[in-house]
Amino acid sequence: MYYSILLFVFVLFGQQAFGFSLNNNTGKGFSSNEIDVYIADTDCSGAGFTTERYKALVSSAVKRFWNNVPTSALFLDVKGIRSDIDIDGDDHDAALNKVPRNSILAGCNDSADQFSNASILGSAKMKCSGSTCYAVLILNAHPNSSLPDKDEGVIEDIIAHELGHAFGLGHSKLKPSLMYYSVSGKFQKWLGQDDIDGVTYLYPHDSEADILGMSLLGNCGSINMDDDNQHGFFKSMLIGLILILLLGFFRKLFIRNLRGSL
Amino acid sequence: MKFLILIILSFNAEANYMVSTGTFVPYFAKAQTNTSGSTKTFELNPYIGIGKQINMTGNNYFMPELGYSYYLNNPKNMRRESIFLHYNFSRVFSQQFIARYGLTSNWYRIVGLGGSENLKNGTSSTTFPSPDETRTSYYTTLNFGGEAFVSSKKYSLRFDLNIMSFAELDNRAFNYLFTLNIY
Repeated sequence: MYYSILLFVFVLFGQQAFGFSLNNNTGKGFSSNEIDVYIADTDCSGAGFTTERYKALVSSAVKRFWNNVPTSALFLDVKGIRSDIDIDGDDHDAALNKVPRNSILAGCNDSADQFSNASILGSAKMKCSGSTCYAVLILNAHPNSSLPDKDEGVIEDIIAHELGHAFGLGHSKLKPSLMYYSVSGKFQKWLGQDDIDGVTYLYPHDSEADILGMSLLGNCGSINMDDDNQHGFFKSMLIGLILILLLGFFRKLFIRNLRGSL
Repeated sequence: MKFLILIILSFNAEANYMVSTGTFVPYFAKAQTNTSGSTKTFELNPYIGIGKQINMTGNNYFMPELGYSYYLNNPKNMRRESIFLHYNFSRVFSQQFIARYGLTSNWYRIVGLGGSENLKNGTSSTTFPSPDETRTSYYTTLNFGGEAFVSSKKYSLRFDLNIMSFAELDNRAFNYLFTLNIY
């Protein structure tokens, strides 16, 4: 009995208290669950890779982390390199002004805020006005940057972290989480629970499609957010119950007919 | 055969309603818990449910159940909870074992209580806002599980595996429920 109580107390208080935070500049995130991501046509050689490779890293980061949360409807759609957008020499605000509205622009340069500091690997800034949001993430391509020393997996982690800021998340205080302020000293294979909760909070499944159980099929990228649909769950329960009762009824009918024919 | 039906009918007569209590573990094996990439295996999130066992044909039952889980490991500025409606079917294999399968409508609520938090950011610290609204995510899971009667027909231990994003191999994730059922 004593050991059971001890085990219960250990499990109860040994759990990590999760808690995500939100990006300062955003409010509630993008109004759509499907966000286009563009790559700026800017030289990334200071960060250790080409612009084409950068696009592949962004695609991989998106697939590994953010498009992979079943309780969230977020779908980051990496569209490709925008040859008409160059953020070379820009600080965050100047780069932000070049971002197409309701999208995220990913680029790199050596002139963004604090990029002379080698420990800053990248940063993001998001801006919202009414229902219009846009964000830029910039990787550090300054000659001092330590990005070229990093493995590609770690660079993907950094991109995914900055994308988290770009769609509305702040930092987490838990080191296992992707949104922890630093990538050093850890192997980021999965999202932490508070990363999952953060993206679920900002981009939940609350569309009509989920009433029909479409979330079972995963994020198809065509689901739009509908904040007014607060009764979706009850409709979902009702439709599911009716479907299953009908299934049971037809099954019973089928078995009776089968027995009758024998 | 008649003996089996008799057993099931008598079992059904005694066990129309059930109450469940246990723990709900979301994102089992998918949420990272330490810096080396290990994932969540267990969490204590108390679960309580009430359901009914409806005989369909022979040893097949329909077992709808309404459940609620409260997450214990909440920070001060947030509360999380889940409501479930399980549409499970069950097949009685013996007096000791029932296999379960079906669908669940899940209602995952994150209740933001507002406030802010000062967190490390680059080489300094920044104050980040905490969520201040209630948001709900609705999703459906495919369920497989089993139920074992240990010492009596009134009590059983039950395990349910809920599969999220079933159709996507890369995107698939799991929740599980471990409960004590009282009939």
